[in-house]
Amino acid sequence: MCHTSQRHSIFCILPPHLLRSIAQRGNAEQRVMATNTLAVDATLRAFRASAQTFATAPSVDALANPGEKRRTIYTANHSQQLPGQRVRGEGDAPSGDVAVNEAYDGLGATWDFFWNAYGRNSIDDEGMPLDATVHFGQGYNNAFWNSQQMVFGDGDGQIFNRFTVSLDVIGHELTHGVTEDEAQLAYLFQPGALNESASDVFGSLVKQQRRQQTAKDADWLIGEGLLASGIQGIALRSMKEPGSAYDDPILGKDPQPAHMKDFVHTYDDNGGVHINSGIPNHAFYLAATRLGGYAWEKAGRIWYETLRDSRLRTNSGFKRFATLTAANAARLFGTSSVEHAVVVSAWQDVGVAVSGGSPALVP
Amino acid sequence: MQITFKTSGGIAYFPGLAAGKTVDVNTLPQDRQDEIRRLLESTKFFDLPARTATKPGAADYQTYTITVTDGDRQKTVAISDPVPPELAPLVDLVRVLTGR
Repeated sequence: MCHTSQRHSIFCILPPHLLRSIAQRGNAEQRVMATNTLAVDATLRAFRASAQTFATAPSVDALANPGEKRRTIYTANHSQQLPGQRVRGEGDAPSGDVAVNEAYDGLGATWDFFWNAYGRNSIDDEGMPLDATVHFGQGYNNAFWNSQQMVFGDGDGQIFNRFTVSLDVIGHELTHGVTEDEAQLAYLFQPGALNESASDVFGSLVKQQRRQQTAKDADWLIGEGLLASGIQGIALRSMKEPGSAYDDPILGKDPQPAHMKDFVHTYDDNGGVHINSGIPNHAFYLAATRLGGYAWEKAGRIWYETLRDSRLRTNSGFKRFATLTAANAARLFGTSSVEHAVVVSAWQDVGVAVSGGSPALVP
Repeated sequence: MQITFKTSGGIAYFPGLAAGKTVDVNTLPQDRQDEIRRLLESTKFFDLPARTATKPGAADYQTYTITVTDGDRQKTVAISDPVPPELAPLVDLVRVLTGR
């Protein structure tokens, strides 16, 4: 806060009672500076006081510059050092490296989506800069969010192509940051499957908004184009038909269920987080297609508000999440609205009964 | 000597990769055999903890599970992203050898 050119360094170390004195008795310039410093200090003091009830306060930067994206792309040059060498910053011309440009555009599309659809300013809603590293490792077969930045492997070319190729995968990974900021859903069992599903839902919506597709026109695939040409499959997952994305000698068969009757009980994959996410994924697909239009406007808004709902806990399971989506649909659109009825029926059709009572009573 | 490599976690769950694949090191070309034995020795593989520490915020991290059977010795080690630099050459080589 004391690095901006408008503020004289002396005002950063003076105690408030001296600042008040300068504000009253200093010359014109001193009075303006002291008054500004006092105003910012008071705001920060209020933030600090409220930190007892709210986990985080918006940074002064975010207050000064609402709605501004700040992207930086690095290359690890096939090492595993993070963040690596800086290759493209915000506003810079495109690079000659397709992975750099895909990462830059994908971070931008994801930022634009959350801002345009829900007025969310970046991952933390406080203008967090978006950093990504491409060319991580040697033929590295993954992409992940490490709480600070995105990391993309090039894929080995045998099973996977480069991980920047699918916009919904970029949206998926960044949404892990949003979920971590809002709901802290544990990355295990049903809460973990909800965490995964939130990433698929908003990852898919990032792609749908970029393409201006309605729910009916969208492909509802996650990771289309990511599987190498020799692999028998079209994507990593399908929200429309969970379990149908691939069936291949190396990868095996897509294990995702679409209904609770096929729920997979396993200790693999953190308790099946990428497997049972098929159930809430399909519930979202059903709700979005039944509501029609652009999926981010109604179904997406309901899911987003649910992710931000303080009644959603770190250990919440499908039933509580479903009940909260119904509660948020009722709050946004009315208890006897079509939206509320559609959300309840979507969950019922994947085998999750929505409780009619207070969400607080649902485990 | 036999080595089994499994991958789980990451951006998706693939039953085929999680089931793992085993190679018989004795059937590999001599230089590959020497390379793998050298890496098992330099990493002190048989003395490694069964699992490397996972870090928070680990959504979509991958876990690589390597099992080595050598005579009457057997050891399984689960290594999660980000792979410690001292283990990266071993993970990379085993992945290549098993075609995973």
